[in-house]
Amino acid sequence: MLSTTLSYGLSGIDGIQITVEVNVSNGLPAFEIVGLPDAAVKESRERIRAAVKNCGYPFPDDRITVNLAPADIRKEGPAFDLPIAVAILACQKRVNPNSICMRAILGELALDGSVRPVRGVLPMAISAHDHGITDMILPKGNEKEVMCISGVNFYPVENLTDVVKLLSGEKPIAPVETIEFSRMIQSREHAFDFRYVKGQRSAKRALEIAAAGGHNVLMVGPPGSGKTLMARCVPSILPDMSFDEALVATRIHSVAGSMPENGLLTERPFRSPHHTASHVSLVGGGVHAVPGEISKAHNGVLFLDELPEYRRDVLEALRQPMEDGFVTITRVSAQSTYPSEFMLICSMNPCPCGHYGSKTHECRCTPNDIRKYLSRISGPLLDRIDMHIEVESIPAERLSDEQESEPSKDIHARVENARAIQRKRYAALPSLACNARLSAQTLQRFCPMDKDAREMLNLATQSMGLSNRAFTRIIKVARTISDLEGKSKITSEHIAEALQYRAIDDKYWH
Amino acid sequence: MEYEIKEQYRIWLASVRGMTPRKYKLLMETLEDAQAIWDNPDSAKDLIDEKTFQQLKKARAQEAFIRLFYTLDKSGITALSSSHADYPESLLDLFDPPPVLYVRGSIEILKEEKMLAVVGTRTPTFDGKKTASEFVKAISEEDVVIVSGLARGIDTIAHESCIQSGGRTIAVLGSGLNSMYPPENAELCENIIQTGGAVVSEMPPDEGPQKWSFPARNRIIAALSKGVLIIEGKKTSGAMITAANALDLSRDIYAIPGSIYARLSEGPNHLIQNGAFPALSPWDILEAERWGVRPGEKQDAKKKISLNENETVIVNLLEIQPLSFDEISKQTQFSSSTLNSLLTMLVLRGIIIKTPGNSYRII
Repeated sequence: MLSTTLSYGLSGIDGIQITVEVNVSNGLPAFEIVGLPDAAVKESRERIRAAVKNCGYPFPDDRITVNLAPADIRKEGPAFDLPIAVAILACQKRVNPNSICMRAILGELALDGSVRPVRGVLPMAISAHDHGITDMILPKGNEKEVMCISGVNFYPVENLTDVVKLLSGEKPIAPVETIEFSRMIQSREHAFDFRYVKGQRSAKRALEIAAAGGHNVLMVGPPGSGKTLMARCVPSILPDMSFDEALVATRIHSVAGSMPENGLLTERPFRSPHHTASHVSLVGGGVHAVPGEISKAHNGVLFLDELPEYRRDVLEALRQPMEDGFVTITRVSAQSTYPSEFMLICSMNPCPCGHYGSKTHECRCTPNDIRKYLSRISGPLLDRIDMHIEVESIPAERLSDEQESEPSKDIHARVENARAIQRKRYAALPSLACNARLSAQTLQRFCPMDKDAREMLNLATQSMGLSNRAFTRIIKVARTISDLEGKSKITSEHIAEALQYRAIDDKYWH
Repeated sequence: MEYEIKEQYRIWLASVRGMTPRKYKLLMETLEDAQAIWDNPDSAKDLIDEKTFQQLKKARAQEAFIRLFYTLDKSGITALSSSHADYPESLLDLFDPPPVLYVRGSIEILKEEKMLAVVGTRTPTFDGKKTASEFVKAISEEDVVIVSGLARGIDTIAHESCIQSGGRTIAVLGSGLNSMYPPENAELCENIIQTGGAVVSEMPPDEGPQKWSFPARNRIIAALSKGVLIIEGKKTSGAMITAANALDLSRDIYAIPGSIYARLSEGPNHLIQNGAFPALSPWDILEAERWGVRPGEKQDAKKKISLNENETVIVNLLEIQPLSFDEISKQTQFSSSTLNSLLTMLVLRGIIIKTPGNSYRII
């Protein structure tokens, strides 16, 4: 007796359809799973046997062969427990075989027959939707993940008996109700708000520009000057995610097994890996090639606090994904490509003791110490950071007399406007999402300057000794500044302001 | 360099490990001749401690003797014993003059009349750096030799500024001439020699820097010069040791006054309180030493710079004191974007300068 059903596996952040075929035939009792199963899939034999028996169904004393097709793709994880169990029951006519052959089933079984949630349900559901599947059975614990997908009936189940009763029509289950994306975006309430950052006018202005143009930022300042706090405030001023952006971000988190409570990432992710982070945890990889921090920060912020403390090879590994916007991880068992378009915010002290240039403390470092400290960050990495800003230390007595500053809400509105202008301008070029991604060719085309601006730039190049890279960076940032003002041409004021954001290039660092 | 026989023995004696200026002085005063000690080292036994005596006996070998002079020759170093005619007389004012002065570069310069020591902290403030460079430039233009210690900070600036304005300078090291400290100043050291200056030390060429050797060399800086200018330094700094030495030698002491709250002006302010001459301009020193005559007041020395209304506001603020971006923004109420571009314009025009810590000051 043969029965088939459908299920889903993962390849990168895409779901792949797997056909689960079960054949029960006469012979010595045996239970074989074929089709490149990994250890977790092979172990499912024991879970299935126990679960089926504990739910009160007899387990066939025959030769059972399970095939997971296509047979040449490696199958991982426990998500195939439920489809195999259901297909075995179908072979015994406990379940109508015709009712399952066009349904997709996902779920891990507990020994008592209850169904446990699995990771990566969202990308699987999206693929199912694309493949024209209309019904999908999934663990109740995963139901929130699929709430935003319409066109597929998702049946959340709690145990194996539920599934049998659902398929026989004995006890129907209501499909998951879909929720409109706009309703999922909560009111913009953030734990970290620029309202609470006192002073730091120049740094705040710089972060506004960075958010508006998607520029990478390096903040340099003494300890306790508020670098970390300000970085945490950045998500509150970033533009809202579109449904597609939210979906991609959620897919990555779904694959990584770090799903948010409400099922969909509606806020831009903010990832701040510790500086002891390994290459694999940052870029992705491991035995199963899971996404790393840079992918989890996709469409959001990757914050590296104390940049020089990170291992050099780890930092260098960031360069290629930053350029490409995706990272491809190759392992023996799999090759996965994960998107990694993030805004990089890093912070560092100006010197080992942290007080170089501070008004409140004395710096104890020799010029040599400072040079050594700064050289821990490679030039190529610095070249990928458009804005270097200096954060000044604020003496305690000045903190108290600062009035409350502008709330994130207002800054956010300006950032949204600037991004809207950019989207319109780059509409024809899908790979160009924001000013930070301008290349040398597109720079010429999209950054017209007036005569004064050109003269100012030339003057600056001569007197400040700007490198070519710094030159392009300044134009990009100036473009964003003019977008914030709603101007189509870059003027000399914009260039002048952009020239402020190159602290590391300044002579006194060398 | 050819040395007289007697001179050779003096240089050898001084190079013995543990031979301090005092022990050397005692030996020379009692036994009169270094050669006599070579011939009969036991005569020194009762005059110096056991350890040094053992070292002396160890060094009394043909091989060590030849090696010493070979090293001097190879490194282009001239050794001058305190009895040599070229030995700077001013050093003999010291209670414990260096037995031998090792010199690279010009020897004649050591005999110069007009010498001013410029000393200060290793971590100067912006004002300190500016003062050092302005004073040294003006003073060295009057053909005054600038003496300093080749340390980081003020010392380095003093040497560099002197070379820049075409003057000659002497660096007194706290280590042997072949073991540069701090290492990053090796290039500056060569520059000093090439521009007609000299680098000197009382330590044998290969001896490394010691904790005590820096305060010790300060006495040489003070003794060589007619006057000592202290630019910045805390109360307990090496610059203050130099000043104390200068006082013992009745050299003139000049100090740059600073704010009573500035920690690095503690030293100079303290000196002024105790009678040092407050130097408000290089001409104060030049006139006091009769090295030059103050030029007549120039009419409107500052260039007239045309500033617009907003720029004037900022420049007026910064003329009082350096301020950070936040402070300027708070006092002027300019928006961050306006202020950013105003400041850049002023920087590009060379009116103000950006300094570490996101702050700005008038040049």
